[in-house]
Amino acid sequence: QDTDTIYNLEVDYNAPVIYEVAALKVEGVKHLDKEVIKQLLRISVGDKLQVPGDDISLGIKRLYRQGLFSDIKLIADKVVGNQIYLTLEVEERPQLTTINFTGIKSSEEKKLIEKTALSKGGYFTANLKNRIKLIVQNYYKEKGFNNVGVTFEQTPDPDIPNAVGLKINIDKNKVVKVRDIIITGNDNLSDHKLIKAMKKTKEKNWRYFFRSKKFSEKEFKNDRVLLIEKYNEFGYRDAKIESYKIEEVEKNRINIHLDIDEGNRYYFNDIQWVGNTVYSSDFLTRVLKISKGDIYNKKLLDDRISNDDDAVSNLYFDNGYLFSRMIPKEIVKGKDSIDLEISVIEGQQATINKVIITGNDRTHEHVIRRELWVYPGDLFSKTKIIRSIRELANLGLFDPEQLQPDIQPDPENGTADIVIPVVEKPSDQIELSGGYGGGTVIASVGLKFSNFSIRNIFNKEAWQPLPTGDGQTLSLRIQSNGKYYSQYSFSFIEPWFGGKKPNSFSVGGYMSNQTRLSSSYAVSSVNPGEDQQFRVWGASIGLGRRLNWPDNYFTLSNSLSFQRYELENWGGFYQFTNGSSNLLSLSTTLARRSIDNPIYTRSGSDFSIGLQFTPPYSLFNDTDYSALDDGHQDKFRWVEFHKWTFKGKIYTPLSRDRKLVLYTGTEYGFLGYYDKDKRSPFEGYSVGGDGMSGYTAYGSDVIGVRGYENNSLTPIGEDGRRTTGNLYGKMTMELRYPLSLEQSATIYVLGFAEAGNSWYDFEDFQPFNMYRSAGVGVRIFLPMFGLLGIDWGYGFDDVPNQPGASGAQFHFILGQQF
Amino acid sequence: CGEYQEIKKSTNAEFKLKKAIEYFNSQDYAKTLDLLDDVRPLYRGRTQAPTIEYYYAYSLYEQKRYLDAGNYFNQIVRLYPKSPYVEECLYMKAFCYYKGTPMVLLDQTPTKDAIQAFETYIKRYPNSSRNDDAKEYISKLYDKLVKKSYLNAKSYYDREYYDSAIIALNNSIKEYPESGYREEILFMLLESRYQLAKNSIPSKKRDRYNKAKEEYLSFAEEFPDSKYVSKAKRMNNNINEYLGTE
Repeated sequence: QDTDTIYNLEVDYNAPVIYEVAALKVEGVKHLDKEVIKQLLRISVGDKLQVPGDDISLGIKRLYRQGLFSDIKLIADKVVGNQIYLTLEVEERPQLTTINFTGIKSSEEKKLIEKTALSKGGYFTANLKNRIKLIVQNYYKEKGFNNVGVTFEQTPDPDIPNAVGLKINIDKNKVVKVRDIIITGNDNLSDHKLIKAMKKTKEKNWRYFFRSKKFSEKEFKNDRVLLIEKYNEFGYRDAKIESYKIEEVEKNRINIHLDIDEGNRYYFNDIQWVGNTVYSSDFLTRVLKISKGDIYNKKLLDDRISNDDDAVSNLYFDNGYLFSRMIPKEIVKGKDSIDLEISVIEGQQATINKVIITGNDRTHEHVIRRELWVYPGDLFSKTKIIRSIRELANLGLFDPEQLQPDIQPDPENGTADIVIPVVEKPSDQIELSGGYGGGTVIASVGLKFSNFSIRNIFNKEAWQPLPTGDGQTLSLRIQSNGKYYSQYSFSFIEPWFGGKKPNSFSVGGYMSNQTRLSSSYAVSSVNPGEDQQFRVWGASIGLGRRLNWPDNYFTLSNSLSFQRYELENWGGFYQFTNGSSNLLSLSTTLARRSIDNPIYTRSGSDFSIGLQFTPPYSLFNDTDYSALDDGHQDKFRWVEFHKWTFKGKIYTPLSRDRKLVLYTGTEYGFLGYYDKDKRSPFEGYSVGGDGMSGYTAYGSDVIGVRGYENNSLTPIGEDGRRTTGNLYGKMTMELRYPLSLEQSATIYVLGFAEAGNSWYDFEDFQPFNMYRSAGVGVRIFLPMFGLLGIDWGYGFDDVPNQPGASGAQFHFILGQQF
Repeated sequence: CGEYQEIKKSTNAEFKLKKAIEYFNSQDYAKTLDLLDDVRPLYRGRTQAPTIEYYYAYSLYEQKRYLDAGNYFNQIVRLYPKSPYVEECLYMKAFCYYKGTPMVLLDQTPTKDAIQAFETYIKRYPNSSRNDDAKEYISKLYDKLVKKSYLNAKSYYDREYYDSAIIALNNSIKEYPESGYREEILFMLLESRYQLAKNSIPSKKRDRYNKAKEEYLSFAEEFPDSKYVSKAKRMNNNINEYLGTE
């Protein structure tokens, strides 16, 4: 043996030495591969190695991270000169090949596997069982299961050496529920108010019938904080929970005792602003809307300073003062007064430098950028950012709940970059439906692509799976009952025609053909068996533009449309049985739309007023239409009318979390004529029922009034036959509450009160004589299928001559109608 | 198909692995992926692990799942740094990222990742014969970023938001001084300045025309033979006319 060989290497941590690795042995390996282990250690023969050093500690750490070993040691066998001989001693862990849970639901199993990060091929570590037990118990504690039993069974895997399967038996035991909550010391706030403030801890009481009474330690802790916050809202600034006790009254049933010290009620006294140069103190106090003598309320103060839409700090944030801050200081004065001293740090005004859009993997960038109200060079404005987000949400292409702008300030240059991350969501819709209408079963197939790109039809790269990305809408629809009714339609909308201004361009066409009526609709005046046909076809083209006055929520749209009706032996519905009719009209609509989200709208409004008219042929030709027969061709060869429409919808959030929403809507329509003897046989209103246009898609507007049968509120005309109304009115109030706002499904329930009616002529119009109804319903919005809904309505008023048209009615809703 | 179901049902990992590689060789990559998914976890830490990952990544690549493939190549580099595949995998990672980059009109974060991946490769293997290709790919990727920045700035110019256009155009030039759109950008800057001056209130006109003049001079100096030269000269005449009259 060489004299310079050292067997027991002493490591001096203050004086590391560099050796050359002469040998590296791996010991203790049963199933794994020595070379792979050496690779993971990243030390090989010939390397220069510092002892002690980072390479060694990092290598060992890396090996541990693999989870393959229960013990790892790197030993220096000997040192010869600057040559070091190493041995890596490892102890392998058994591999875990199968995991089974018993005693729980498969959905819970999925969650638990996720939480415990178990997967086949993992390794069995010493701590594994303890860790699983803790995770399982914590998981169930949150759900109110307080004594969950967890046991393990471990069996060797017959197929693979050194591998085990693990069976985890879970016994959930019973949920612990709260029986009574006994509160003492609350002289000023009622028990109910306090229990209401606690979100998840409820007692057994009819008031909380729908709420869970499960007891969870964690939720109770949160709820105690909420309870004190409730006191703070009422001016009890010093309120605290003196003590609380959880008492088991029988197995799995507890009572909670809470003893509260309310303290004094405080009031706001003087309010002072410090450091403000841009706005005067008086002005700021006016915007704050808190004055001397008001009951102290911490939450209100925070909301008024920063959270509300019209909060004081937004004065600054909307005027470029991105770096501004407001710090309120509360000074207690006497025993129940609070002086407020609000320091304002204004900082400099910031302008926007870059507007960066990320995450768009389908929608083209300019389609997003053009909807934004933030521009490079403009002063920073919080309101404009919020408006931009709202416009993007309204495109329907992105998940609105995930549109969170990121502001990246650069104080040195006095600028800020605005990053807008979008998350694309599926926006195409397929509608496959079968429905019963007009006495027959009708099937329809509809496709709606909301992010079409027509110029990319020949660009393979943009097909995913259709040419996508330009934000154009293409809809195609086919309806048929297989035998004697079919309808085809298409429409295309380009929202930014020309790309410079938000001027929309739309074009559409349709054709429907019916050769016979269902027997239940047959009218005695038509001989069955005779050749019958009712054909409608038409096309329209439209242009719309955004206005800047009165404000930039307004749009004005115009469209030109042509429609042709061809009737053959088609009696009983219109003024003529044989012949054709042409309809050429121009419509113009002025609308103001400011809703926050098209699917579950929480706030905003949508108003529109429209006029559609045909040329007044009767004013220019000298025909005396009163002398012509009812069915004379001249009366309807070119149809003439003017049609007025008003619609208004307002959405008001009622609850603080903005989930409960009140929808108020009102609409009126009027179909007028130029010559009373040349009235339009088409374009009137068919009122009552679900509002779905079914298969009488052309010829009349279908207006829903729930709680009544379809078309039951349309008046009987002069000739005693059923005809369409020329005037209608409708009012709706709806309370909506969402059950799910997930991207995968938006679901909400609603309760409604509605009233509507239609009249034959203007003279008959009685705005307060309406058919009333009320009911409940549910709506489900699925990204692929659009809106589905069912309503139950009760019509309160009898419809003359139509027993059974009112009372309890079910309505099915497809597509956005209400 | 029946044979495949038999293989899939087998609990013999070695057999499955063998068959997976056979499927790979006969270019049935979907089946390779499916079988490898079953055996991968069982081979963790064993001799075959890097090879399995290697086949897995290439199957993804052949299936045109470039982003996934790139990430798997990356994983081989990270986990098995001494394996013989490392250099190839590091290059393939970058190449997959390159193949997976989206159209210019979409978010270009993957393009930036791809550039970085090629740069890492070149830095680590400065003498590699693949470097000429890598450099060419980098320049193609870089062109995408340049074009994106140009189109973004141009969108403000097209919509006649000249204030914003000036900022965005300047940012684009600052970020990509070698931009292939330099001529267009300088011309749009001139026109934006000019339009802004033309449409401003009298008190600001002079100052803004002066700025437009500056823009004209730098444009004319850099691109004396530009296809926009007649338009630029017309603007310059109007600028001079205004500046001369006061």
